Amino acid sequence: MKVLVIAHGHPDFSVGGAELAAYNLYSALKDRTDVREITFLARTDHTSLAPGAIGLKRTNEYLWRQDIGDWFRLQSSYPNAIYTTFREFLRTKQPDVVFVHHFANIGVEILRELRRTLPNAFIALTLHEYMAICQRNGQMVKNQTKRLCYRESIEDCNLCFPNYSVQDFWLRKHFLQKHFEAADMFISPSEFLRQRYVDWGIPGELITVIENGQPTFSRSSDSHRRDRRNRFGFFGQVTEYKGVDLLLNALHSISPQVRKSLLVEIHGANLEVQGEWLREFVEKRRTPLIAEGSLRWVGPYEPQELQRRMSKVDWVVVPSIWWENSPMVIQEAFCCGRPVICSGIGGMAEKVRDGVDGLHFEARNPTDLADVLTRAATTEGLWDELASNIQQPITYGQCAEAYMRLVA
Amino acid sequence: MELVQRKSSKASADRMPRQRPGKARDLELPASRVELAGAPLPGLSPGPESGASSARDESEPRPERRAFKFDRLPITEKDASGRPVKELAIDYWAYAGNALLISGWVMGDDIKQLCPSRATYAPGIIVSFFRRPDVENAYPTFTAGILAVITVEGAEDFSLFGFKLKFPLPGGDDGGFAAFLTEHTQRFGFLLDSLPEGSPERALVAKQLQPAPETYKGARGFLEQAKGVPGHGGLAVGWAVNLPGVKLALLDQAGRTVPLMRAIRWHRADIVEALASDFGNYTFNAGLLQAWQHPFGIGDELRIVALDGDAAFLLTSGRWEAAPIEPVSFARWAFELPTPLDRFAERLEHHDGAIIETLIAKDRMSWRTVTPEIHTFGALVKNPKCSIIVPLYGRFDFMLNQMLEFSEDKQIKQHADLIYVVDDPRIASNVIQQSWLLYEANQIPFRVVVTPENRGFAGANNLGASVSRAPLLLLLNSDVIPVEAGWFGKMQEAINKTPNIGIVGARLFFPNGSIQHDGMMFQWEPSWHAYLNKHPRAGMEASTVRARHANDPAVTAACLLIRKSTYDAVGGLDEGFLIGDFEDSDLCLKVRRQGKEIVCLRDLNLTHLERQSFSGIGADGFRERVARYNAWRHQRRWSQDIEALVNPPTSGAVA
Repeated sequence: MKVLVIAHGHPDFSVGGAELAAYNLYSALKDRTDVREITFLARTDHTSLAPGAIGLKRTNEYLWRQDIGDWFRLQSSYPNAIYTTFREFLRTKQPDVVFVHHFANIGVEILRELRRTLPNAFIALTLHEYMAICQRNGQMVKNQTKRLCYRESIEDCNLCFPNYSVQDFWLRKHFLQKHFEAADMFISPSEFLRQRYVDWGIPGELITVIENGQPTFSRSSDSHRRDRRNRFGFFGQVTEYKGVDLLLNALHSISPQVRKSLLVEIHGANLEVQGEWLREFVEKRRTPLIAEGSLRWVGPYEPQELQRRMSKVDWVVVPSIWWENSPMVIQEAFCCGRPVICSGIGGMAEKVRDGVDGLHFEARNPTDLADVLTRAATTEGLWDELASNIQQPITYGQCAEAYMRLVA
Repeated sequence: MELVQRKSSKASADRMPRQRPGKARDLELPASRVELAGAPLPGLSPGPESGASSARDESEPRPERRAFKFDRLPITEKDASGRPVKELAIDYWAYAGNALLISGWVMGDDIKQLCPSRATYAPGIIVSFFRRPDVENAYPTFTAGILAVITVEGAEDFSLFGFKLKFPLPGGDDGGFAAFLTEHTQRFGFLLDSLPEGSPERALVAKQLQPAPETYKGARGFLEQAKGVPGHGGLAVGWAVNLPGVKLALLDQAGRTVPLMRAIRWHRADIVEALASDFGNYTFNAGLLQAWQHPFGIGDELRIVALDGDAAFLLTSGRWEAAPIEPVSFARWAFELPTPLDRFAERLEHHDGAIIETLIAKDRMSWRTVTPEIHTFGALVKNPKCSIIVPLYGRFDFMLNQMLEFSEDKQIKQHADLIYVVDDPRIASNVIQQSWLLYEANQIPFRVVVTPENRGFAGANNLGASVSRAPLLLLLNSDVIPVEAGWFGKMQEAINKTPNIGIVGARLFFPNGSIQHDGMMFQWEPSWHAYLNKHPRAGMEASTVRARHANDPAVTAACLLIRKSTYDAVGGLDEGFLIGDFEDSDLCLKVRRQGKEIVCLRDLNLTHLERQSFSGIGADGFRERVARYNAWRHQRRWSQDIEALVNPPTSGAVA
């Protein structure tokens, strides 16, 4: 079997979860005996390639210079390349199986082109967020009010984006659905996201849940055994959606006596590219806490540093204010044996079982988060019980196996 | 002043001497002969024995036709005792066009009953009576000055107050029209009313008109705008107030008039405020709009005159300005002019409707008849069964969605001649650039036809039809997206199996799944004075509506199948509507007149992305007025056919 994995970025250049998941799949598939040949095609904006051109990165790994020209219909900036360069590439490689991990940054047209040029191939699309459903960065958060969106409809979408009429949203949905029809199967890392797409129109029998694989860490938990489990860690991008400001507000609402017994570490990246209000807010709110000693602002980390940093905290906090899908940080926390405290919505609430391997707090509610943090830090034996229930996420190999089983 | 002498009869010499009156101005009058006739006085016993005959001068040869030859001597009828009972004197006369004008005076008691200031004395004879103080003193009986206008219609003579007179030969003793202008300044209104259309004397009168004096309280007015297209017509807009009895009219330099009786009037608060003290409640409808259909040139003068009794006063004047010739631009200007909406249909009927109609006709004739620019993508289907014509305007992203669907419909792939007509130069280049990508993505061959200028819905479809290659035509709006394959074949089957079906339409759905179109019917809209096209059951859930194939009065052209031969036979879509509207019902009614039926198929699934809330009624502004124009035009042509459809005669149902 010849396999092609398409990603919307190469982990060498961009470190998002979807790109990593795609590359990990590719790496795991390489080792399989039933895969005769495998190719990784990743989108890039690297200017060493002409727009639309495909170039070799290393053996079996190619880069494709592409971009989205129209974010409303998710159409490519260089559509000509799809019908020339990409078509040629497909004809040359002739894969039997294509796993498309994303069309973002590339263009949804590739789905129909895959079907057209490889009429007999098995084509599966993995969905990483709600981009086809929701015009607002694929988050399903209302545009004006920032409230959570539970259901799309062309009328509701028009309310979020008055510049686009109801008819425009009908056309968008029709356009994207017709392109999705080119795929044989759809894969979602979470049941929550799967259900959202079923609501949107993908037939239930065509979409299945396969979790992303994770590396296996050797857990040397004993070396970090401690009496008090009062260390909390946030790992990820410092954005409004990841809830860093929510966490800071929660800390401020804990009484100083209690707070002095906690330690929160923020391992956050990209604060400097955020909007001014967030930067100012974070600066204002963290400074007294850092002075007090209850907060450490550690800063960004390299992927290989993650395990060590996570093992130094007791709890991993995922306070995202949007639904999430299957946040990699949760899988990583479980790999390190850390229970997770997260918002009780969406993919987070699915991956973390409240009272089993972690704790939920009411989404977007800083005082509730404060209560949960306090409870987590002060309840004797709670940590041990939760940590003991943590299940190791599936490996890269197991993930690849699940993907290949779809083909059969 | 010379006395006008009669060739004396003895009887006349016995009469009391009397002062012969002169005219208001001194004029030499040549003596002329009078021949008396035996015509009886009105009201007196007829018969040659009447006193009139006794006044004949035996010394004169009896005229062969017993009509007075025309001259300036007075003609007298006497009673049995020889007293003059009726007299007619003609001071001067002139021809104007095909009318004879007489200025003079008349005496006689029975004349009095004819004497309001003006009377239509007889068919073709209008007389204005006025006071002649110089004559009044001469007779105990009633006297009055007369200004008469007598239409010449091939007769050799005419009868005036019982006197039969022969039409004089033109020239010769003709005093010329100038005399009338100098004496009858008080009767210019009468002259404008009575002088024949087209006679050059009208212009002479017009030239002499004076503005109303400050003290004149019969009427006031102001011409704010006179704007039009020479050769088509213009509109005069302004305000005027007048007391009852005073008539208003537009007047040009050539003396042509248009009465303002049918002008559109509206309330002008500013005029009420300014003039209520003099005109009271007669100021209420001061605004006015009147169409002018006589020839005019830009810069020519146009006036409003008040015709008060026989007099005429100039109220205001202005000059013609150029209105846009391009019909939509003309309408954009004209429809801004105030008109109470309940008067709009009336306004179109009597004023600018005809102007717009001819401007549109001229515009269409000027469309270049060039070979249209055609771009082909892919290998066209040989022997297509049906041409699909899709006009594009403004946006063309619908093409993406349509082609995605077409590419999954085998019958379209195999049998359609797909034509996109780009009716918008602004997007033409982008459409052509995108088209090859569309072909690559969908593999449906198609052509793109570019109109040389924006032609509107009818023009674009007609152009597409003119290059079509199949015996059937499917008109399809760009924003109609089929969502289930098979509709194309079903519609063709319906028209092919029944020769009497002239048009096949389709049920269409809104994006939310409710019905957008399920056949059209006509509904009377009282505020528009017209039948409008209605979509019954629009907005309803499909499941609540019985699906049936019935003979519908009309169907929308958003998705309409017709034989090319029928389309050509009825002249395609009518390009005469302003911007566009009603072309579909117009087409359906034309096809009905050919004796064919219309059917709307209902087991189809196509989405029409038309905005659900659009309605011409209630929305104000230019768009609504354009819709009203089109409705008026449609109504004029089809009122009877629609009546028959809406109220079918009981002897045989139509629908």
